[in-house]
Amino acid sequence: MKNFLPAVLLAVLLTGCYSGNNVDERLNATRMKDFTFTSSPEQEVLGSSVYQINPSHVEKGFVDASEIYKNRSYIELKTPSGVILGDITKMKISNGLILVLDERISKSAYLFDSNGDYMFKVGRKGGGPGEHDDPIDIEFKGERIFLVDRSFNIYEYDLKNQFIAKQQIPFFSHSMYVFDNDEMAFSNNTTGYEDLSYQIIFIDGQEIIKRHSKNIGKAISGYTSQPLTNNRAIHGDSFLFFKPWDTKVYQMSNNQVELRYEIVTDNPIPQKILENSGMLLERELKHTFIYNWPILETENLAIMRVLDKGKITTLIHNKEKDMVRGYSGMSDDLLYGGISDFPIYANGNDFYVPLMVEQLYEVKQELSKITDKKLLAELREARPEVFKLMESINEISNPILMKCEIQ
Amino acid sequence: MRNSIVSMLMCLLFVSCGKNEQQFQTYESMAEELDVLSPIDSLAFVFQKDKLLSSAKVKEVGSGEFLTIDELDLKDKIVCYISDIQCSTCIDQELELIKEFYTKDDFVLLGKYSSERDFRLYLLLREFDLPAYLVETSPSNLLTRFTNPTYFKLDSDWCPSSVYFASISTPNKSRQYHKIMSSVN
Repeated sequence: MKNFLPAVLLAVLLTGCYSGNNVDERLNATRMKDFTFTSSPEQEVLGSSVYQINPSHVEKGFVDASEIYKNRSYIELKTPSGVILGDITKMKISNGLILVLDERISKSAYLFDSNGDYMFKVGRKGGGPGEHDDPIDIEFKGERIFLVDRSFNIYEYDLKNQFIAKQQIPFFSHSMYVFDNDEMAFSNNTTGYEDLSYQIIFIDGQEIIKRHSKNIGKAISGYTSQPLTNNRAIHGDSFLFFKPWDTKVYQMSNNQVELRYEIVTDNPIPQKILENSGMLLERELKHTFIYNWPILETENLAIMRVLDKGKITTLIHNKEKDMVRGYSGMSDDLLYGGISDFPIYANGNDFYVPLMVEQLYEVKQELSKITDKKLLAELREARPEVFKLMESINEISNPILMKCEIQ
Repeated sequence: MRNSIVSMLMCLLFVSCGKNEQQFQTYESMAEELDVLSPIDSLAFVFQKDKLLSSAKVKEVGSGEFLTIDELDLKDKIVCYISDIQCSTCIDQELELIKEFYTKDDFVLLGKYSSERDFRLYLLLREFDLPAYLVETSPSNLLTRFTNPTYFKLDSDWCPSSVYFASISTPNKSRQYHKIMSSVN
């Protein structure tokens, strides 16, 4: 404990001492020099079709993976020698093509066809023309591929991997959405700067044209990535988002904001605690709010996660049946632990779940030790999918995507 | 002693962050009186008093062989500790510098990663082929909490010396450290 304190103090010292006045000052300081800022009134939030979910009214125990993930198929991402993906942190699909981002290990984005056959690694890292820094988000619209890199730039490439354009942004963002008219929306939430609150910032060329939830209150950050999610078949030219530590899900187009879901709880985080960035644990263990996972929606379902007094709970709203079910844990009765318990993307009516190939490789090693042929046959019959997937897996295999429906 | 270091850090914290002038002067005076080190130096100072556990287990990347740290022959070697909670951009920068300055005879990389596959891939994709070990049981509680790549040597009492915390914002300082340490070896 004594050892821990200096580290904590150092971390606080390094991150907590920014003394700027507000976001406008930071934006205007250096990075804003090439941008113009149009002041716009806060958009009115429409709330006519809000659906309320009370987590305490939802049954939420452990579920089997096979009970949730239906009509499963698997996409093995095949790459040429020397190209290996660490894991998939984000993905987008356009016209059947799959764009994935490995943010942590190879720090690159890759394009695959619908069968998982490799097309190319997007762009090239470096400091030259058209070369990007480590990517932190991707966007895929029609035949246009966008990367946001950690150096505050957006890069656009085409389906031949040709560099098209570069656009600077004057702030840090982990998530972007590109509208059909080329306006861009960014989720902006900078951990450590107590005067910055979460906001959605709209950029059109070199102009900041709109901000939503701009700079109200302070110290509500603490998570850096509230993803803007879109399923074009459902949302058209708009996206879903939520504010950190909040209980509401919004759908936003470039001229309208609509409140879609509200988590009903008797213990939301009080403003006093929100304003105290030192009370993160208090927020997580004693209160209820939407957790930092993407909000995913298909025609029939919406799926989201809440942290309910320290317990991660997945909520699934079946719109057709007008009912909500939930789970707070998943036992993997399909792949012996290779399945994640939450999808990362929805497209059309399909959800996509990256599999944990390291776990699958361990299963493969364990199964290879079994010499009893009868037992092996029984196991194969019980879990045919894992045996099929194991055939091509080695210790550094690429991630595999499970495509499925959710019930 | 550790308590006094914590107090010193607390003083620095207030000196750096405090907006109240009176408070600033109070803690500044205290800091002067205590002859405090910089925060980074203070942390290094604390770490240098932290005796590493020689029986801590590691797994060699490549062979998969389990060893204890005292089997690694760390005498006179530069040890770099990285982990998956550290700034990965800082790690990328340091891996390139390590390849430039050290050989397999004078360097050891210790990595604390929750996924062995991630650690192996990380090194493989960066063509890092100096000795590297996955930390199975940590040799120091303090070490596991460092959020930047951490360099040190070990003295005969298993206490770290020549401690350096690398950062993406100070590549020249890193280069200077490696230049000195590689020439010493």
